[in-house]
Amino acid sequence: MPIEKKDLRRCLVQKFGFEQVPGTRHDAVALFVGGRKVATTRFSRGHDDINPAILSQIAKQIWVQLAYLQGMYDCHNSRQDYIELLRQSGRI
Amino acid sequence: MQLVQIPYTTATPPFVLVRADHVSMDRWRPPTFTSPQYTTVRVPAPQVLLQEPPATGWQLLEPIPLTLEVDQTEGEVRVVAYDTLVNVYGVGATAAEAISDLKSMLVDLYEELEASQAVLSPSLQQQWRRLRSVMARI
Repeated sequence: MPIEKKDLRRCLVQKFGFEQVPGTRHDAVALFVGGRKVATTRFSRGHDDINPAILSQIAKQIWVQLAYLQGMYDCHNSRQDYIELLRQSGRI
Repeated sequence: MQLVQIPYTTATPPFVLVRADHVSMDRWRPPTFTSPQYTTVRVPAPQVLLQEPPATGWQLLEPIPLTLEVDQTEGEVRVVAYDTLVNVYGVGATAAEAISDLKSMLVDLYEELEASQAVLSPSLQQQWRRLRSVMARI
Protein backbone atom coordinates (compact mmCIF):
# COMPACT_ATOMS: atom_id res chain seq x y z
CA MET A 1 0.00 0.00 0.00
CA PRO A 2 1.69 3.24 -1.11
CA ILE A 3 2.17 5.96 1.45
CA GLU A 4 0.67 9.34 0.64
CA LYS A 5 3.30 12.06 0.40
CA LYS A 6 1.29 14.43 2.57
CA ASP A 7 0.89 11.76 5.27
CA LEU A 8 4.63 11.06 5.47
CA ARG A 9 5.37 14.78 5.53
CA ARG A 10 2.82 15.29 8.30
CA CYS A 11 4.35 12.39 10.25
CA LEU A 12 7.87 13.85 10.02
CA VAL A 13 6.69 17.32 11.01
CA GLN A 14 4.16 16.53 13.73
CA LYS A 15 5.72 13.44 15.28
CA PHE A 16 9.44 13.87 14.67
CA GLY A 17 9.73 17.64 14.82
CA PHE A 18 10.93 18.31 11.28
CA GLU A 19 10.46 21.94 10.25
CA GLN A 20 9.44 23.42 6.94
CA VAL A 21 12.47 24.80 5.09
CA PRO A 22 11.47 28.20 3.70
CA GLY A 23 12.17 29.13 0.10
CA THR A 24 12.54 25.65 -1.36
CA ARG A 25 10.73 24.52 -4.49
CA HIS A 26 10.28 20.93 -3.42
CA ASP A 27 8.66 21.19 -0.02
CA ALA A 28 11.76 20.44 2.03
CA VAL A 29 11.65 19.70 5.75
CA ALA A 30 14.64 19.60 8.09
CA LEU A 31 15.36 18.38 11.59
CA PHE A 32 17.24 20.56 14.06
CA VAL A 33 18.80 19.15 17.23
CA GLY A 34 20.60 21.47 19.62
CA GLY A 35 20.53 24.27 17.07
CA ARG A 36 22.17 22.13 14.37
CA LYS A 37 20.49 20.97 11.20
CA VAL A 38 21.01 17.22 11.27
CA ALA A 39 18.76 15.92 8.50
CA THR A 40 16.88 17.30 5.56
CA THR A 41 14.58 15.72 3.02
CA ARG A 42 12.39 17.01 0.25
CA PHE A 43 9.32 15.79 -1.52
CA SER A 44 9.30 15.83 -5.29
CA ARG A 45 6.40 17.55 -7.00
CA GLY A 46 6.33 14.65 -9.46
CA HIS A 47 4.20 12.34 -7.32
CA ASP A 48 1.50 12.23 -4.67
CA ASP A 49 2.15 8.80 -3.26
CA ILE A 50 5.45 7.29 -2.28
CA ASN A 51 6.49 3.91 -3.62
CA PRO A 52 9.29 1.83 -2.03
CA ALA A 53 11.94 3.25 -4.38
CA ILE A 54 11.13 6.83 -3.34
CA LEU A 55 10.72 5.88 0.31
CA SER A 56 14.16 4.31 0.19
CA GLN A 57 15.67 7.59 -1.05
CA ILE A 58 13.89 9.60 1.64
CA ALA A 59 15.19 7.13 4.24
CA LYS A 60 18.77 7.75 3.05
CA GLN A 61 18.22 11.50 3.22
CA ILE A 62 17.27 11.29 6.89
CA TRP A 63 20.05 8.74 7.67
CA VAL A 64 17.95 5.65 8.37
CA GLN A 65 17.27 2.31 6.74
CA LEU A 66 14.07 1.84 4.76
CA ALA A 67 12.58 -0.50 7.38
CA TYR A 68 13.30 2.04 10.11
CA LEU A 69 11.51 4.80 8.20
CA GLN A 70 8.55 2.49 7.72
CA GLY A 71 8.63 1.97 11.49
CA MET A 72 8.66 5.73 11.99
CA TYR A 73 5.59 6.03 9.79
CA ASP A 74 3.86 3.08 11.47
CA CYS A 75 4.50 4.57 14.93
CA HIS A 76 6.89 1.77 15.99
CA ASN A 77 9.79 4.23 16.29
CA SER A 78 9.43 7.38 18.35
CA ARG A 79 11.19 10.71 17.97
CA GLN A 80 13.33 9.77 20.96
CA ASP A 81 14.29 6.47 19.29
CA TYR A 82 15.17 8.31 16.10
CA ILE A 83 17.31 10.93 17.83
CA GLU A 84 19.10 8.17 19.74
CA LEU A 85 19.74 6.30 16.49
CA LEU A 86 21.20 9.46 14.94
CA ARG A 87 23.46 9.85 17.99
CA GLN A 88 24.60 6.23 17.86
CA SER A 89 25.36 6.47 14.15
CA GLY A 90 27.36 9.66 14.64
CA ARG A 91 24.95 11.88 12.73
CA ILE A 92 24.58 14.26 15.68
CA MET B 1 19.96 -4.64 -8.97
CA GLN B 2 16.18 -4.83 -9.26
CA LEU B 3 13.66 -7.56 -9.66
CA VAL B 4 11.80 -7.75 -12.95
CA GLN B 5 8.91 -10.07 -13.61
CA ILE B 6 8.86 -11.60 -17.05
CA PRO B 7 5.76 -13.36 -18.40
CA TYR B 8 6.47 -17.05 -18.37
CA THR B 9 5.24 -18.81 -21.48
CA THR B 10 5.99 -22.03 -23.25
CA ALA B 11 8.13 -19.99 -25.62
CA THR B 12 10.57 -19.32 -22.78
CA PRO B 13 11.09 -22.67 -21.03
CA PRO B 14 13.61 -22.88 -18.22
CA PHE B 15 16.66 -24.19 -20.05
CA VAL B 16 19.32 -25.76 -17.89
CA LEU B 17 22.78 -26.09 -19.36
CA VAL B 18 24.76 -29.16 -18.39
CA ARG B 19 27.88 -30.73 -19.80
CA ALA B 20 26.94 -33.41 -22.29
CA ASP B 21 29.25 -35.96 -20.71
CA HIS B 22 27.44 -35.49 -17.39
CA VAL B 23 24.10 -36.59 -18.83
CA SER B 24 23.17 -40.20 -18.74
CA MET B 25 20.72 -40.41 -21.61
CA ASP B 26 19.08 -43.58 -20.45
CA ARG B 27 17.89 -41.74 -17.33
CA TRP B 28 17.13 -38.45 -19.05
CA ARG B 29 13.55 -37.18 -18.98
CA PRO B 30 12.18 -33.92 -20.37
CA PRO B 31 12.09 -31.22 -17.71
CA THR B 32 8.71 -30.67 -16.18
CA PHE B 33 7.44 -27.45 -14.73
CA THR B 34 4.17 -26.26 -13.34
CA SER B 35 3.70 -23.30 -15.70
CA PRO B 36 3.73 -20.45 -13.22
CA GLN B 37 2.37 -17.18 -14.61
CA TYR B 38 5.55 -15.26 -13.95
CA THR B 39 9.14 -15.93 -13.25
CA THR B 40 11.35 -13.43 -11.44
CA VAL B 41 14.79 -12.58 -12.75
CA ARG B 42 17.36 -10.19 -11.38
CA VAL B 43 18.68 -7.61 -13.82
CA PRO B 44 20.84 -4.56 -13.21
CA ALA B 45 18.93 -1.29 -12.93
CA PRO B 46 19.82 0.98 -15.85
CA GLN B 47 22.46 3.56 -15.05
CA VAL B 48 23.14 6.83 -16.82
CA LEU B 49 25.59 9.66 -16.32
CA LEU B 50 24.17 13.11 -15.72
CA GLN B 51 26.47 15.37 -17.70
CA GLU B 52 24.43 18.46 -18.39
CA PRO B 53 24.02 21.45 -16.04
CA PRO B 54 21.17 21.06 -13.57
CA ALA B 55 19.72 24.44 -14.55
CA THR B 56 20.53 27.71 -16.26
CA GLY B 57 23.22 29.51 -14.31
CA TRP B 58 24.72 26.29 -12.97
CA GLN B 59 27.52 24.05 -14.11
CA LEU B 60 28.30 20.44 -13.42
CA LEU B 61 31.91 19.99 -12.37
CA GLU B 62 31.84 16.25 -12.96
CA PRO B 63 29.27 13.75 -14.21
CA ILE B 64 26.90 12.30 -11.63
CA PRO B 65 26.03 8.59 -11.97
CA LEU B 66 22.28 8.06 -11.79
CA THR B 67 20.25 4.89 -11.38
CA LEU B 68 16.81 4.62 -12.96
CA GLU B 69 14.07 2.44 -11.55
CA VAL B 70 10.78 1.84 -13.28
CA ASP B 71 7.75 1.25 -11.11
CA GLN B 72 4.35 0.22 -12.36
CA THR B 73 1.52 0.45 -9.88
CA GLU B 74 -2.14 0.13 -10.89
CA GLY B 75 -1.27 0.72 -14.52
CA GLU B 76 0.68 3.92 -13.87
CA VAL B 77 4.31 3.83 -14.93
CA ARG B 78 6.67 5.95 -12.91
CA VAL B 79 10.41 6.38 -13.24
CA VAL B 80 12.55 7.18 -10.21
CA ALA B 81 16.04 8.54 -10.86
CA TYR B 82 18.47 8.74 -7.98
CA ASP B 83 22.13 9.18 -7.27
CA THR B 84 24.23 7.70 -4.49
CA LEU B 85 26.62 10.63 -4.20
CA VAL B 86 24.40 13.21 -2.55
CA ASN B 87 21.20 11.17 -2.11
CA VAL B 88 18.89 13.12 -4.35
CA TYR B 89 16.03 11.63 -6.36
CA GLY B 90 13.58 12.68 -9.04
CA VAL B 91 10.29 11.25 -10.22
CA GLY B 92 8.49 11.40 -13.55
CA ALA B 93 6.38 9.56 -16.08
CA THR B 94 9.48 9.14 -18.25
CA ALA B 95 13.22 8.92 -17.64
CA ALA B 96 13.65 12.43 -19.02
CA GLU B 97 11.03 13.81 -16.63
CA ALA B 98 12.58 11.99 -13.67
CA ILE B 99 16.06 13.33 -14.49
CA SER B 100 14.68 16.84 -14.95
CA ASP B 101 13.01 16.56 -11.54
CA LEU B 102 16.27 15.29 -10.01
CA LYS B 103 18.19 18.26 -11.43
CA SER B 104 15.67 20.61 -9.86
CA MET B 105 16.10 18.76 -6.54
CA LEU B 106 19.89 19.12 -6.82
CA VAL B 107 19.61 22.91 -7.13
CA ASP B 108 17.05 23.00 -4.32
CA LEU B 109 19.33 21.03 -1.99
CA TYR B 110 22.36 23.13 -2.92
CA GLU B 111 20.53 26.35 -2.08
CA GLU B 112 19.23 24.94 1.18
CA LEU B 113 22.62 23.71 2.40
CA GLU B 114 24.31 26.89 1.23
CA ALA B 115 21.85 29.00 3.20
CA SER B 116 22.33 26.99 6.39
CA GLN B 117 26.09 26.33 6.27
CA ALA B 118 26.63 27.75 9.73
CA VAL B 119 24.36 25.25 11.43
CA LEU B 120 25.00 22.06 9.48
CA SER B 121 25.81 18.88 11.38
CA PRO B 122 29.03 17.10 10.35
CA SER B 123 27.10 14.68 8.12
CA LEU B 124 25.32 17.49 6.32
CA GLN B 125 28.62 19.39 6.02
CA GLN B 126 30.04 16.33 4.30
CA GLN B 127 27.02 16.18 2.00
CA TRP B 128 27.48 19.92 1.29
CA ARG B 129 31.14 19.37 0.38
CA ARG B 130 30.21 16.49 -1.95
CA LEU B 131 27.56 18.62 -3.60
CA ARG B 132 30.00 21.51 -4.12
CA SER B 133 32.49 19.09 -5.65
CA VAL B 134 30.06 18.18 -8.44
CA MET B 135 28.16 21.41 -9.14
CA ALA B 136 28.57 25.15 -8.86
CA ARG B 137 27.03 28.44 -9.86
CA ILE B 138 28.47 29.94 -13.05
